[in-house]
Amino acid sequence: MEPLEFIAMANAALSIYEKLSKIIAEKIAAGEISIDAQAQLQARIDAIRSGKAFEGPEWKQSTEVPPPTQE
Amino acid sequence: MKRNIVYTILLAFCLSLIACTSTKLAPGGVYQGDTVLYDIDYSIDMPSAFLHLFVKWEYDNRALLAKKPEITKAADEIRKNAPKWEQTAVAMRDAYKRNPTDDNKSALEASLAVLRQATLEAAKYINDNSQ
Repeated sequence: MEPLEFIAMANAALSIYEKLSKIIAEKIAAGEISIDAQAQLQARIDAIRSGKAFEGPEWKQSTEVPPPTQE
Repeated sequence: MKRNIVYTILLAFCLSLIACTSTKLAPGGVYQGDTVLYDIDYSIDMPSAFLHLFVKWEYDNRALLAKKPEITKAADEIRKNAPKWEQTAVAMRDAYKRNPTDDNKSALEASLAVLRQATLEAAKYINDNSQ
């Protein structure tokens, strides 16, 4: 693997773990789940139920949509 | 390789931790103090978020991943199935909310297990290609 590929993929993987760790930390550390956080969670569940959560271009099959231009 | 195993174990641990962590809900929220329902939604949201991040990661890095067609193939499988998996879990959640029987609980747990397994598969691809 080329160095730049390695860096891009490592950054992407770290970004994913960072986001997930924030979600987990919210759950573990919070003494109380705020009203806003409750509303956000329910909104995400509603988006799954309605299908809106799957509307982005990343949800098209790879054969249907060209990937974004890589820098 | 060791780091792959560590990441996968860590993810599995985190997913299992979700179900074990006690929740305190601020009064006045949409869950109206129903911590069981909140925890169920959280158990759906967490693996779903990971699957969404995985397909976004593959989409954003598709050119770089051209030499790894198996990753794009795996992402396409998730694109095909994740809506069904996630919406099934939400439907089972709704059924359990309406009628909290043992059968509905088992169906809900089965749908959550499918989501968690898909998450671990996606994590494997990310780990294997970030070393």
